[in-house]
This record gives sequence, C-alpha cells and structure tokens, in this order.
Amino acid sequence: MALSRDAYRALEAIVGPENISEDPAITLGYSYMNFVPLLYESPRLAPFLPEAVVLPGSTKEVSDIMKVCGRHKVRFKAFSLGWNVAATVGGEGVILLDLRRMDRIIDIDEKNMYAVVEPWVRMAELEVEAEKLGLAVQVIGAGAGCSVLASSTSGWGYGTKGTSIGHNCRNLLGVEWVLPTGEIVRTGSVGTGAGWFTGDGPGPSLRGVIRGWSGALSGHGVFTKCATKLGHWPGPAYPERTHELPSIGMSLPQNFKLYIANWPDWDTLADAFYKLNECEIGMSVWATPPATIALFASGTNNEALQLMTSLPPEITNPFQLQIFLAGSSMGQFKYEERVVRDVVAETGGQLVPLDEEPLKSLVPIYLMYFVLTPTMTRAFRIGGEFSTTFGAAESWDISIKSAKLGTELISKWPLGQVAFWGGGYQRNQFAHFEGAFMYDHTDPEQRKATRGFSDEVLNAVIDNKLGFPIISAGAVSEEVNKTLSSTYSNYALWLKKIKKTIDPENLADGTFYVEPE
Amino acid sequence: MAQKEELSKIVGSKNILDDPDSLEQYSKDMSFIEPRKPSYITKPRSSNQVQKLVKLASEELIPLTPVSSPGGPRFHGDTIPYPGGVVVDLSNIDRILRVDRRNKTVHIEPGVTFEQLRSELRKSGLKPFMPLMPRQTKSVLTSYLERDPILSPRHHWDTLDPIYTVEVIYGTGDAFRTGSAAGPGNTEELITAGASLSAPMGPGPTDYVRLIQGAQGTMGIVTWAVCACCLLPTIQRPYFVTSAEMESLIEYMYALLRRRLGDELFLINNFVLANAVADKPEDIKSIATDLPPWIVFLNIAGYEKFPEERVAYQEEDATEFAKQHKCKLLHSVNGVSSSELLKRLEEPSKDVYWKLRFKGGCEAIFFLTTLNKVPEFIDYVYKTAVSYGYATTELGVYVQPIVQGTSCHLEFDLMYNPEDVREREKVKRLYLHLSEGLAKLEAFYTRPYGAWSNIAYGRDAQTTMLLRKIKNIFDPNDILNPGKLCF
Amino acid sequence: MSNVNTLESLSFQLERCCRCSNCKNVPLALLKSQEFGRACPSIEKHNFHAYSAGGRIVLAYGLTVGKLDYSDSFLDIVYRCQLDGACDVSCKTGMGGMLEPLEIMRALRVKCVEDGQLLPQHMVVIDGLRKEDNMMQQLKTERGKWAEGLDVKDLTKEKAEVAYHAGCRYSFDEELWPAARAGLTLLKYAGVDVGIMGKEEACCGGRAYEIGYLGELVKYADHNIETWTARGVQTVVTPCSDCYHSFKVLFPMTGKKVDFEVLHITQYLDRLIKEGKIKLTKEVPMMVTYHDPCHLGRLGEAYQAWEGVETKMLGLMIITEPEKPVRFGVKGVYDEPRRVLNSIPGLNLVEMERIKEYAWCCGAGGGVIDAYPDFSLWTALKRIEEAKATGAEALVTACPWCARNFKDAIEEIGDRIKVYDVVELVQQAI
Repeated sequence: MALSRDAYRALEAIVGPENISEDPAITLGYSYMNFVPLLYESPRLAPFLPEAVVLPGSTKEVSDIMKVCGRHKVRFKAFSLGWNVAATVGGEGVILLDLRRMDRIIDIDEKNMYAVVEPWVRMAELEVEAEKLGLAVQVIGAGAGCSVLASSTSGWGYGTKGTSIGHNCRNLLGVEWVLPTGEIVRTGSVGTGAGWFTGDGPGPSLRGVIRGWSGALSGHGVFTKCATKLGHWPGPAYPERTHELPSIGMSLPQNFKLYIANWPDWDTLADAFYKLNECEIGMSVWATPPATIALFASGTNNEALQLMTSLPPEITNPFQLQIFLAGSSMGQFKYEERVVRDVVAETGGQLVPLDEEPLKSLVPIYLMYFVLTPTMTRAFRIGGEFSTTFGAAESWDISIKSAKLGTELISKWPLGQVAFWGGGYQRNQFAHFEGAFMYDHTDPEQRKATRGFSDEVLNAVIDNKLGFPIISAGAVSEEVNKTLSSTYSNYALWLKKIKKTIDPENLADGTFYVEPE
Repeated sequence: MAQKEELSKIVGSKNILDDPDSLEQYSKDMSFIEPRKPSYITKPRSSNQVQKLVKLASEELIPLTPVSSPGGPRFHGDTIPYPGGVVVDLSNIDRILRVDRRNKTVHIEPGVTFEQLRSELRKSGLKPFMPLMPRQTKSVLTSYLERDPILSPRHHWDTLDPIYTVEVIYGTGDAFRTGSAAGPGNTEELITAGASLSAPMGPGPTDYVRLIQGAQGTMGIVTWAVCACCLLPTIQRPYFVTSAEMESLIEYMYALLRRRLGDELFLINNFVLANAVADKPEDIKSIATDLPPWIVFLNIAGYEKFPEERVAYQEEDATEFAKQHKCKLLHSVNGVSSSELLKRLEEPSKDVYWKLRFKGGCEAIFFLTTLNKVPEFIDYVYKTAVSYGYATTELGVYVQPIVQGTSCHLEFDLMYNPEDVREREKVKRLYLHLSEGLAKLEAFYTRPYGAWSNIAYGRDAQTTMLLRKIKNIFDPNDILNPGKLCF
Repeated sequence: MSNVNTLESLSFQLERCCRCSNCKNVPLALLKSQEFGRACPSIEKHNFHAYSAGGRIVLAYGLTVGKLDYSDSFLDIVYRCQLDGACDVSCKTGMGGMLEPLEIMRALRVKCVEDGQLLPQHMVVIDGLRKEDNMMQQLKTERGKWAEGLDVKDLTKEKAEVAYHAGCRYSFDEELWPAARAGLTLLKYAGVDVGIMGKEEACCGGRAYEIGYLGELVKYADHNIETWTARGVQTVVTPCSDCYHSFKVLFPMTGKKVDFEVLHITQYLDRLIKEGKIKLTKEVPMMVTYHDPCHLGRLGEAYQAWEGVETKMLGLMIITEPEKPVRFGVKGVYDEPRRVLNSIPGLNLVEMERIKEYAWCCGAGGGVIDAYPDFSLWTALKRIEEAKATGAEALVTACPWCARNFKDAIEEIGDRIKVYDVVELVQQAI
C-alpha cells in the first residue's frame, strides 16, 4: 500500500527532503540481503520492499516519526547496519528507518568501563577508540563490522571475547528506547538522570522486555542509544599492524599468546574446556572447526585452499580448542600459560606448535580476523552464503551433544560439513556452540537443502532437549513461535501480550518478533 | 471464614496462621513503614500449592505478599502485607534440589538459607556467593532476587547474577520457567539431557527473569531458582588496604577491578569493620576509634589448579598497584586481622544480625552509583548527619563494586535504639531527608523500598508508565504485593 | 582481446554481495579512529545504502533481473561516485575478489551510456572531448601553452626516449602550470631525453571511460599507443595520476599491447634521485602531509590479464583456475612519492590516518567534479580536515585533479593550508 502523501509530507517535514525516499532505486537496496534463502525462495532478494526509507538524525526525530506513524497508521522497521534477512521489512506498507545518521560514540567512560553509542557505531570503530583507553569490546559473531547497539539490544550469537568480557546481551546497560507510541523510555539509571551505568530498575528491569536471548528486531520500537560494558585491553593503544592487505596481522607484545590444542574426541575436549574455564584464564577460549585458520588467515579462496592442503595435519583436527591469553601482567600471563599446558596434558590433549612457519606468520593474521577484528565476511566468501544451527545457550555438555548430533544429521544433506564453533560465556557459566555450514545460495538445490536441514535441526533440538536453538534467519518469528512455544513454557503467550501492551496499534513490524494476540 | 476454608483446602489447616501474635509478627518489620496486618499467613509446602494460592487470589482478588526468609528481622517494608491480605510464607519450601559441581550451579527453593546452602555446597567443593554477613534467617533466593550485592565483583557479570533461571508463578496463576529452564520439556528431562539451566536469557526475545528480580514479589512468586556458585578456595589471602586518602583507595579499587584481581573486594568504614569483628557490642566504639577511617577488604583466593601461583601473581600485582596509589596492603590494622573478617564474611551473622549489634536498630540507605562519585555522596551524608546531631562515628558506610566495577552499591547504615522513640524519630527524619537529597545528587534507587519508590519513580515517568503496563500483563488483577514499587 | 568487463560478464557476481557494509569503511583492521575511518564519500554524504558500492551492486542486479528501470534517481546514484575504489579495497579484504565492486560500477556506467542514459553534465564534456581531444572543454589549439618558453623536444617533429604527457587538466589549468612545468624541467635538469606532444597531445581517455564512454577510451588508447610507438618512445612519464592509471591499467585492459614503460613523475624522480642525477640540497623547512591520489595509488596497480574459469572445490569453495590475480590496491605507487619527499632537506612528512590503498578520495574523480561540483568540494573538505588534523602546513599531492579540488575547497572556506605537488617541493630543494 503506497504511503499517503500526507504521511510522506509529514515525514519529510521531520527529516528534510534529502533524508526520505520512496524511489525503488533506493528502497530495493534494503531488501537485498544475506540469509534470505532461509526464509524465502530467492538467493538475495527478500520479497518486500520498504514503502519508503527515512533517515532520522536524532532521538527526537525518531520520536516524531513514531507519532506520524501513529497518526497515519504506518508500520515501521528500524535498521542499523542491516546484516541479516531479519533486518528487512516483513510485509507490504512498512517504512524503514535507516539509522545511519545516528553514528556517534557519545561517551567512553574509562574508569567505569562502558561506552554509550548510537546505532551506527560499528564494533571496529568503538574498539579502536576504546583501545586507546585500554578497553576492549565484545559483540556477537557478526564481528567488527556490526553495530554495537544492534549486537547489544537485538543480535544473537557467539563472540570470542565472551569468555572474559561477557555476553553481548548481558553487557547491555542503560538504553534509550523510543516506543511505537513515540514515548521515550530511558531504562535504569538513565531514566532518573543518574547516568548510563545500569539498565535495570528501579525495581523490575525493562531490559527484560527489551531483549532475551535474541532481540525484538524492531518489533517493539527503536533503540537510539545504549550503553555497553567493556573489558580490559592489556595491550598497546594501537597495536602495530603487520603484513599487508588483504590480510593484516596484529603484532602483540609478549603478554599475549594464542594456544591451539587437540583432543582425541569431543568428550575429552569437553572435560578440558570445563577445567580451563574453571581456572578463569584467557581473553578467549573457544572451539572452532579445523578449517578456520585457513579461512580467516587467507585473503582469497585460492589461498584458503592452498592453506588447507598445506598446513600441518594437526591444524585440521576436528576436536580442537583455541585459547587466547592476554595477561594484565606477566605474572598473570605466566600463570595462565602454566594452566594451559597442565590442563592439556592432564586431559590427553596435544598442543599444536605455532612457532614455526607457516603457522607462525599466519597467527597474527588469524587473531586479527577471527578474534580481535572478527571479519565474518570471510565466511561468506567461501561459497557465497552460510547459515547456522543448534547454538543454544546452555551447558557445554549440551553444546557437545549438539556437535555430535549435528555432524550426524548433516551427512544426509548435500551441504558439505557442519562446522561447530563457539565457547563459554562468563568463564563457561553457560556456553554456545553453533553448527555453521556454508553453501551456494545461487543453487536452488542447496537453498532447498539449507531450509530442510535447518528444519530438521529445529526438531532435533526439541526432541533431544538441546536448549533454545539459534535460528539464524531471524531469531523467532510467528512460525517459529508456533513451533517452539508450547515446549518452552508457552513463552509466546506472554510475548504476544508484551507486544500488544507496548505496541497497541501494531505499528512496529514484528515479523521477526511476534504478532500481537 | 470462607476465605480460610478455601486457603485450608490448598495448604492444609495446620499451615494457616491467624492468631494475633502471628498477625502482629507479620504486620511489621524494622523499617519506618507503618505496620499493616494481614488476614492470614499461609505456609505452603510446594510450588503446586503456591500456584493454587495465586489462582485463588486472582479469582477472589486477595492481595498476596510473599515472604521467603524463615524469620526476621526484616528491614525494607517489602514484606509488610496489604491490610487484610494474605501472606504467603514460602520458608517451608526449603530444599536444595540439586548441586551441579560441573556447571557450578545449585537448584534451590525459597526457604533455603545461606548457612544451609553453605554446608551443602562444601560437600561438592563449592560455596555460595555471599552478600555482606546476611542474617541467619535470610533466604538465599530472596537475597539474590532483591539484588543484595555479592562480595566478589569479578564474579558479578550482570545485575542478575548469581540468579540464573527461576520457576515463577505469575499473578494469573500461570507457572513459567525462565531462561534455559524453559524447555524443551520439563526440568527433569532437561537435566537428564545434560542441561545446567544456567542461561538466564529468554526463552526467546524476552528475559523474563529480569522482570522478577527487584520486583519485591509484585510480578510473580518464585518457587525455585538455579543460581551460580563459586569454587571453594583451597587457599585464601585476605588483606586490608589502607590509605591516607579515600580517593586513593577508590583509584586502587578501579585498578584491581579492571584487571579482575582478587575475589572479595569492597570498601567499608571503621565503624562497619568494628561492628563486624567485635565480640561484644560494647567494644564496637573503641575498636572503631582505633581503626583508620576507610578500609578496603581484598581477598585473593587460589582454587584447585596451582593455587599458590594464582595467589602469588595477584598478590604481586595488587602490591604493585598499592604502591602506585599510595596504599598499603596489611594483614591487620590495629589488632583487627583480615583473616578474622574473612571468617565473618564466609558465614551469615552469628547470633544477632551485625547491623543490630550496636544499638538494636538500623535503617540503611543504599543505592547504585559509580565509584568515582562515592566521595561526593559520603561528604553530603556526613554533613547532613551532623546537621541532625547524628554522630558520624556511628554511621556505617559500605561500598560494594558490582557488575565487575561498572557501578557500585553504596550503603549508609544509620544505627539507632528502636526503644528510644525520640532517637527513632530523629533517625527517621534524617533517613527521609537523606533519601531525597541523595536522589538529587543522582543516587539511583534500583531497589526502591518504601519512600524510595516515590522518589525513584517520581523521577522517571516514562519507565513508571511502562512498568505499570507490564505489570498488568503478569498480574492483571493486581494481587501480588500491591502498594509496592509504583503499583 | 579486450578484458573490459561488462555487466553481463559480471552478472554472476551480482548475487555475491553479502551485505557486510565493509565498503563503507576503510579496511576495519586498519582503522585508526572513528573520525577518519570512513571510506566512501558517496554514502558519507548521501546516507542511503544505494549510495554505497553494495547499494550500486543492488542497482545493477535490479536492472539485470528486471526489478529496476532507469530513472533520474537511478542515474543520480550511479554517478554520485568518484569511482575512487576505496570500497573495492575494503570489500576485497573480506570477499577476496569474489566480488569486484569497482568493475561492476564501471560496467554499470558503460551500460547506462550504451542504453542512452546520459547525464547532461557529462554530455557537454564528452562533446568537448570528441571535438577538441580534451576533457576541459577548451580548444585543442591552446593545448601546449603550458610549456611555452621551455626548451624541450617537440615529439611531433623529432624523436625522444621519454614522452612527458601533461594531461588535460595540467594542459589547460593555468594556475597549475607551474607544477606541470616543474616536472618537465626536473627531467631536463637530470639530463633525460624528453619531449612533449604539445598541442597534439590528446586525452588519455580514462575519465571518459569512468563516466561510461568506453568507446572514447578505446579510441584514445589506440591513438596514443600508436603515436608514441611511432616516435620510438621508450618511456611515457606523466605528472597526472589519472593519465598514469589510463596508460598503466586501462590501456592494457582494453587488450592493447603497451610496449613502452609507463611512469608517474614521482617514480621517475625517485629513480633519478637514487641515481644521483638529481641532488636536493636546499632546505625546505615545512611540515607536510601527503595525499595518495586514487589513480596513482590503489587504482594504479599494474594490470594483469587473466583468462580462466571459476570452479568449485569440495562441492562448495569457489576458486579460480588458474589463480586470478586480485587487485587489492597494495601494489600502487606509494613509496616513491614518499621517498622523494623524505629526500627533501628540512621537510617533515607526517601521515594522515587514511593513506595508501585506503586513502580518502580528493573528490574530483569519476566525473563528479563536472556533474556534482558541490559533492566534489564536500569530499575535498573532508580530506582537508584530515590533513589539518596532522598539524601539517601543507597538503602535498601528485595529481592535478586532486590539487585543483583541494585548492578550490580551501578557497571556499578561506583556510590557510597550502597545496603543493611533489614536483614543486622538489624544485624548491634544488
């Protein structure tokens, strides 16, 4: 349904004519997206175009836009970097708010270790500024290019620094939230004017409504600012870069080191993982598929293939942990090194030597593109698309069960291998292990197989009690809610009520959240 | 009478109290809030009974006030019932259902106390995360749900910690399990499959448990929780850290927090330390007089693997930072040993709750802020106390960094003799004055008990309006602890 | 055989953009600050995704699959882009050449022109080119005036080993003549056997190609190669980065055989300084910062022809056989200008944050200076901000288009930072 001229003019009056467009040459760009084949039979185009794209420049403009939407019954969807089919509009007649103009780092509070950002601040941008103050940033697996705010308020997945800095959704502090009614809620200490340091209270926490394991994907309003907890960065303010494009390495001082170790099977690896995390060591401790170094330390697929066939065979062991140590002091570093060596030996593991070529040169690059400035684009480079499954946040033992099951299930599908990667959050208080696989999204057979495998996994997770699955396409949706809710405490019943309460006119596009009751 | 019969059908007549003494006991606490008598006190013995109670209350519009600790004294007014309402005393639901050593979790019911938990966890090489010397009768679950700060900021990753997942009965009478306890299937099935029930998020795009924590029982009644535990240390090195300047101590704490050095870490004044360690109440003042005004407590622990090395590097780093910030690491100060305090911290208060030892009464003001603002608040409180004729030498101060140092719990303990009416009135006036004044200085009442609820919610209309709407989802008939918070 | 890509030959790439938005920033691993971390002037100014490389790939895709048709907005998006290639560098750090945004955007422009979708602002320029062999809408007969008074070989009459090609901008922009003259004078000073074509010098065709007129590129490639070959030229040296790019990259790309060496003046000077044929002895006490021209830097990597196929390994991984060289921008001309500057006594060279293959564009390229002068100046102003942040007194470059745009921008805001070409500072040091 075309936007009424009155609505268009009202929106234009808020943002200015240069910041609104309904031209298909503009709007089509917001429907071309990755992960599309998981939901729609198309390699890249989601079926719906936004009715118009609006570029607000401030919280007030967002609030005014919401009021216009309310008056004219126009549905809306908020969009920051937009790197998932869940960022596209879910139906006809939805306007899209591209928050690109809101890209400030409002503050980095060095002492209290948090940053306040607007939607279009990318992880790499915050990280480079935070490192100058000795701080580090944690986001989800989407990595260095993703929006810090989207990761904190809405995104889901595993980020390597979760071991030591915590989980993106739990690092969320104060939030500025524009409701679909146009009201502006500032959660926790922000609302009372005390600062951004907590998003909880007074009393019950509205953070609980803002997001859970996943977020609402604009299904209940627009976030215009958020604060996120940061971690300690015990390295230089700007670590020296080595090598050259396409693969830059990071030269780090002697209190940093990567260890890679292999185990004979999943179970011994699991025991080692528990022990390492109990000792509370490492900036990151994670498990990753054997090809990861070849993939992330290479600049092209040709180079990746060469590496895969030429790297020492120990690197391709599937039961592998990677441990990245970053000691705040040499004393800490040496202690952690000792722990690593001891746990590996104790649990029947084997350390992979990394101090000889070709691995010696690859490690700084690998750290850059996988741990410190994670570049998930390289996962898309392989075949064009990738998807992910399992990935419940639960115990590491559940994660291992997922890995065993996933490896078995995918063998029946023409999709290659499933590559499990993930680790523990908060020193393994809970873990996350997702089964990722790459595929050619331009091949209709592969698209079909991807959807089929994903559906099979969804049912397998329920049947085998493997937690709440990651559902890479868009977290939940009405269809997913119908499948899952009754077996997960009927959560959708409450979710629908929450939606109806916050968005009585159902103006926020809840395609990837919930439809109201 | 009809109501009593209905209640009896659910919990059994032996588990209903309505004698005058019991009603009197549950009508009040040590806060300044006026007593209100319930009609009945019920003592359910299972989640099933709790659910039935809530369903009945929802149908018949009976206000319910949940209480979990198996005894007082209580302090915040949150358990004072609605007049003529029904108290749901969960203290008989007091089992430790499961200890999971591998995932360091424990599954507990509401009536479990810290000592009970501590004793059980020891057998598995674990210990609970402790708040500051809780009373013997304090419910662990209540402590965590009410956001009592734990002593170890490095293990406090998020406001929710150490709570992971809960089973809650909403005001509609519906039962719900949060986080990874939600499913698929029931908890027995999940545990058999290897689940730890330790992921607080969800299910799906809502953190239901966050709406319960801090809610003073207004959103739902929790019937069990899975909580985090800590490894039992094999060695511990407790220290006092002193300095001529409080600001130096704060900078020192920042240095440690950033690097996650040490386990238990907090700042107290001499009066709190004296209250904690004195054998006799009459010794408190003299002990306090001999102590430096501000003391940081730092405990460095070693666990199973290379405990000595773990402690050694942290001691070295902590000592180095102490030098940089003109602080001293000491094992004792003027006859008070850090080991002695550590011992007190590992257990609930022996006999009398530590806050009541000095004069028998205490009104605490606490809120969240950031460490760097603490001196400003202390300055204000001290000046105001003096203006009220309140001796600052009898004022306790406790600063507990939380969420790994991103903020802190700042607490002022006003001691008074509850039998002395004039003193009680004076402290009440001081308490109310300070509560308002601190808010103006940007104190954040994350736990808005009593007078603080008007102050906190009065400063944030939008949050208040939305919370009321959310409350209406989970308790549409407003039966759960009505009159608390902004409801 | 021509290796110029068409939209059709690139159609298989149009579904490969994974929407990572890396094209909007410098390679994230090289980010030094948020303030100077963006790469693409177009989306920085216009904000809609369509104005990024990723967005233009969607445009090309939409056109190809029938979801979009030409419109004023369509052309506006296509042409509000300097084709500076920063997006291409950033994209390839993640996608490894599976996707070539710059190639796609150029091919899209060629298609627009082929389909008669022309920007009036560009039509005027192309008209002038066709009539007068230059992109400046000036008379051909006036070309060569910049060299008046310089005693140099006339290549229309005699042979020389080295041809000095000034380029259209230098030929007709009088304010910039000192730099053009300086380059030539330095070569002569060093004893190089150099000549010029004077008023017979013709456009390199590069800018015309960038605005979609492929035919013009082919025509001028043919003409220039033939002309120099006939005159026994061994080396073509130019002070213009655009021309350098045309000769070094575009001419071979069109399938022409280029038998002479192509050098930018900074490369030649570097060589001459190393050989001791130019000695820099006079102090030039100044703090300067160097701007890498896009066409000399990331776009100036030598062209390597490739014929091969894409194939799948392990049922999934797309590789090229034989291995296709990927232009990451790393092998552009970066070191030589810097070495030359560092050879100048007393000169203090400080770097901006965005340099080399991830430098911010001056704003002039891709036809933008003609079609969207405001946007062109806006882009230049951003670079000037970055230059001033270094504390430098002067912004040095190696391209007349950059110099012109910077000078215009500085005049617009009344700033005091100076603009020099490398050759001008070298001349001061002799």
